[in-house]
Amino acid sequence: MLCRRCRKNEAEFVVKAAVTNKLTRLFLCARCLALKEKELGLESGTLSYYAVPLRGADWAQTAPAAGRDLRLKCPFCALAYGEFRQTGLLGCPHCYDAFRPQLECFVRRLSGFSRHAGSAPPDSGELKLKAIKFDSASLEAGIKSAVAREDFEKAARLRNILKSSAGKKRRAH
Amino acid sequence: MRIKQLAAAAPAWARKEGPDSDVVLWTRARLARNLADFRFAPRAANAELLDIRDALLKKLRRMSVFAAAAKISFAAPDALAGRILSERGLLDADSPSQAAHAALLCAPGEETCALVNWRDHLRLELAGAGFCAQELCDAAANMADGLSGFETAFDAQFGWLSPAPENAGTGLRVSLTLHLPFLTRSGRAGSALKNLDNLFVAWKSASVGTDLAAGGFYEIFNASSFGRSETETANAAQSAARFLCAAEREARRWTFSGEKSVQAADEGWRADGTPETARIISFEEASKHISAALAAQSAGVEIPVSKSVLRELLILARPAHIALRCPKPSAPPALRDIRRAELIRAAITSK
Repeated sequence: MLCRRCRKNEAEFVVKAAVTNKLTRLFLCARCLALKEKELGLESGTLSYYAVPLRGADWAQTAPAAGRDLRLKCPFCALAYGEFRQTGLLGCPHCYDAFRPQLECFVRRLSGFSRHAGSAPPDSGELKLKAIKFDSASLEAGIKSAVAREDFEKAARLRNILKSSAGKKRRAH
Repeated sequence: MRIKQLAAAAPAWARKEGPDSDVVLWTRARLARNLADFRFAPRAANAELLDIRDALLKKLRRMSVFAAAAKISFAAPDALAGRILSERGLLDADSPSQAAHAALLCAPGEETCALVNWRDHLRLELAGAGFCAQELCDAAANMADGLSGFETAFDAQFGWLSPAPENAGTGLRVSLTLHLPFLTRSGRAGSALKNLDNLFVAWKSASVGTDLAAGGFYEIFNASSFGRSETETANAAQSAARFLCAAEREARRWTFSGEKSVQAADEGWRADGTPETARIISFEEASKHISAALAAQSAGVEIPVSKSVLRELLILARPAHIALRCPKPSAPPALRDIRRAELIRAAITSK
């Protein structure tokens, strides 16, 4: 999404201001935000507005995406990447795996970092893949997608989950 | 318990005093966690949401802090309930509506709460009077550790996963509600807030459509929970609070050192008198009077109304809380202003 003021740079902030009792939203780049702040009374200290970095759906929509990215789908919950750009919400933990390069770019733009720092579960490692609530069709689609991407390690893990869940079902019957 | 009962009284943390509470009214910490085995709440099927809610509530009930907690269930999204929780600081002002089968567990005093299926599978919400970011962060982390038995969604690169990627990472959001009347009056609040550490951004602490900043109330919080550890987040909150407390106290000292001191004290006295007699009062006007009375008290001016009553009113006089006191939540603004005036008069005269 381009800055609504200069229409050149990518918008990085949304400015929310109360104008005649109505909340207005303006998407601006950092340079135009500084100019707008003077107009809105930052210097006088009244602060009848607030500016926050783009978040949620506003933020997701600023991400440039090639056509093939928009058609990407999470193999588990079937969320399309294009849908995420509309809502700013992911469907399941596996979406982080399915859209990893795109999301890496997103979070770096928002926070300036590309890797988590802080607490982790004792046995943390890669994204935990358990499939109690996912059906076998989702798992098979995930295996196909992983093979297509030549991510054979993940395909093997998914196959093991599929086998174990099939075994559980047989025992249950 | 029903939402109306919850909204009838202010939370305990709003009444108490804590460290630096002349400037930092209260501190909140939110820790979000999602379960690895399920779709995120906004896309989960009803059956999944029910499973999640029941399993999490069962686990939470076993924690000592929630043993006597009140539970409110929401079978379907409820916009007014969302606004009430937002006004009590449990949700962001731009908060999303909850998924179906959401629940809220409130420990007595509302200092520890848990929201289930409200965008994230679990949000632990802790609040305290004054500045207490480190204590709340530690308590939230200990509670999250107590969720053994659940596999929480975690990724080495993205951290604790959330449906909104900006909330991934630590999943921790620390916010401080500040009262900066003298900085605002001196015209330096804007530049002071802009000087904060980049991690913290200024936010007008208001229900959407109202102007709390006019009373000098602001909320600051960490813009992103990604890439910085929990300790770094708490430290940034501490340096932001220290900086703003020093700036506000300096502005207060300057105001009360000269001829303006009579004017500032007079504003405090008037702020006490007007609501006591008013029969119609908007939230904006009420917040300005509360601000002036709190400001005068922080400078040592004796005002008959206690600080705890003023702080309580800052929550109870908000629009959605007043809507629940009307015969219908959709009551017109004029009726809400009458009810607000009644509430304020009763609070001021009874204590």
